[in-house]
Amino acid sequence: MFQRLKLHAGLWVSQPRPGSSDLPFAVGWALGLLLMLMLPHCVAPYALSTVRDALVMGLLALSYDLLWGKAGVLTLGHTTFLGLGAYGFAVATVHFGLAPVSAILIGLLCAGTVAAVVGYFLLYAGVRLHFFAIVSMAVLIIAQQLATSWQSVTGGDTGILGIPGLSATFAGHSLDLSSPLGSWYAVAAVVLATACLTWLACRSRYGKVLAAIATNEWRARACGYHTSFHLLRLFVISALLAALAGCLMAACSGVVAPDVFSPLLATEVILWVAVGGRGTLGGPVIAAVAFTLLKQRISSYSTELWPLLLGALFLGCVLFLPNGLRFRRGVINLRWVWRAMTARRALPGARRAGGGQ
Amino acid sequence: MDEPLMKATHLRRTFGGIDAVADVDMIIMPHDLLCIIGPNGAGKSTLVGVLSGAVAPSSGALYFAGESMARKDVHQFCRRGVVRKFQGTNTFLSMSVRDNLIVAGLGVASHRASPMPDPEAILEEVGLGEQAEELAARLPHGQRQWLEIGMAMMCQPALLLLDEPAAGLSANDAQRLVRLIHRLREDCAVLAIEHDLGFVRALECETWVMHRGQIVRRGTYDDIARDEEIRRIYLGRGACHAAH
Repeated sequence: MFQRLKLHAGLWVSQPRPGSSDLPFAVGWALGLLLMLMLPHCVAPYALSTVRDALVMGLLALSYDLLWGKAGVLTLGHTTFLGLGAYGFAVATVHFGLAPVSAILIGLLCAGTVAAVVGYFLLYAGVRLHFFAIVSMAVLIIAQQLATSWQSVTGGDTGILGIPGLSATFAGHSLDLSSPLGSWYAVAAVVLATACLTWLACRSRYGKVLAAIATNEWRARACGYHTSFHLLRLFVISALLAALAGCLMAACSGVVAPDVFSPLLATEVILWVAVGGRGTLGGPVIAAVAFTLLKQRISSYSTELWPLLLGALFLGCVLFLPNGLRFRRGVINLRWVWRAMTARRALPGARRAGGGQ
Repeated sequence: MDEPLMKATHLRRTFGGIDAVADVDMIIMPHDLLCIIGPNGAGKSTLVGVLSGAVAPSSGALYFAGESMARKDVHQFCRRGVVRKFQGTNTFLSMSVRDNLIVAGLGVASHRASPMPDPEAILEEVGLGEQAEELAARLPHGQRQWLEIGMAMMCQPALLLLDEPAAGLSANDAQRLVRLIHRLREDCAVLAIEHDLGFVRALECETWVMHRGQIVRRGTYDDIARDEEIRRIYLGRGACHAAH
């Protein structure tokens, strides 16, 4: 039995040989590592904490790219799990006095359970695409209502204040990560590690199966895949990553309020992934960090300006950049346009051959 | 006598009051090779759909290797060895030819003790060795048919259902396909539904004629071709190669 399990695990995680297509991510990751080590020496502690908070949003973008970019599951309520993670962490530490490490587990458990239950009933019933997206939005709004009205637990509109920072105790040694520098290293390390793991998972054969389910779910079923199960598993993993971002957010900022469940933030997540490039993993993280920093800068001038700008950006992205900002793809597209303009071609007749009976 | 591989009794599938498959009984033994022919709308595709689990039968019973297949999903059919080759457009278009084969093989292999078939060997066998890195979307229609066949072979079939395998193939390719099907038959049973009667003749196998949801004749191709009533139903309508 164990032998068989090992054999099958080997089948799934086997990686292709490194090639030129791995280069962008590997270089980006190495740069990220460099930035993690160098940035504290270059900027002031306050600026560092701003970038750290933006990086937490990067983790959220990463979790959403795994779901939408890799498996094609569009949701409008991904921040539900960010909020559940944050509230789970906050309630566990503030109300029950748990240590941050166990509180993170509580936060993950909350989000994972909700994701598993909601995902099971939707995905196993064959709910997909925009239907799934709309129901996920409804779940988000329910969570928002709960957060504002269940005052004894969530603190209502003010939320929960005084959440302790990250710290861990291992065999007598305690590690305090609540200082700006400590939390920066903690957040950056988590984001880099998660990015690397998800990238490796998507690069493996299992990632190919996910891509196959995203392109043609029906055909994947005919190849012997229980696609609903695979999508549910991915949905839960993605929710767990979002919840991890929520825990980090709560621990770093020390406060959690119902606005984590705001539909505006849920829309921003989609925009980060759309602009950063669906399925590139690195792109959405960069976009999330850039947009969050931009949002803070703009909000300091005017709070109404940001939603307006966001809407305009979204429209522009859908109209002009349906695949996001991809440099390589962009160059290829330009070449295509150039060829189409310079060479007169016959209309491709091969289209017709597609249909059978 | 061996146990039958697939057995169907009183299989029926209705669409809005019309019997697409009406009361079909059939037994497929291991290593059988048979062809089902019939005019458009005879219910051939629906029959393959029911046999592959894609379409739930309205009534009747279906057994595979002695196990009832009632209320089982397509993926469960596939894991047990009932594999269907689709008509050429149903591949993972955004992936390379090799990845298509790997993905096709992995789903079944992860539920079997036997290792996954070697994708490189199958690439050679279906003649796509040169196009292994090509995107499936870039393949011409004929080669996509071969890719489909390769994907079906990766699923380690015990019963291979071929949905119009010769559609869009050149005469040369059709001959190659006939040879491949005879080779595959050493490992599994093959059922093909086909329009192209020249192809059916070249297969030299048991041939069934379907008409209005029922199997009206069973015999060798020559018997069928000589049958007056079949001529009237199907062959006598002008062109012998009843193409679309």
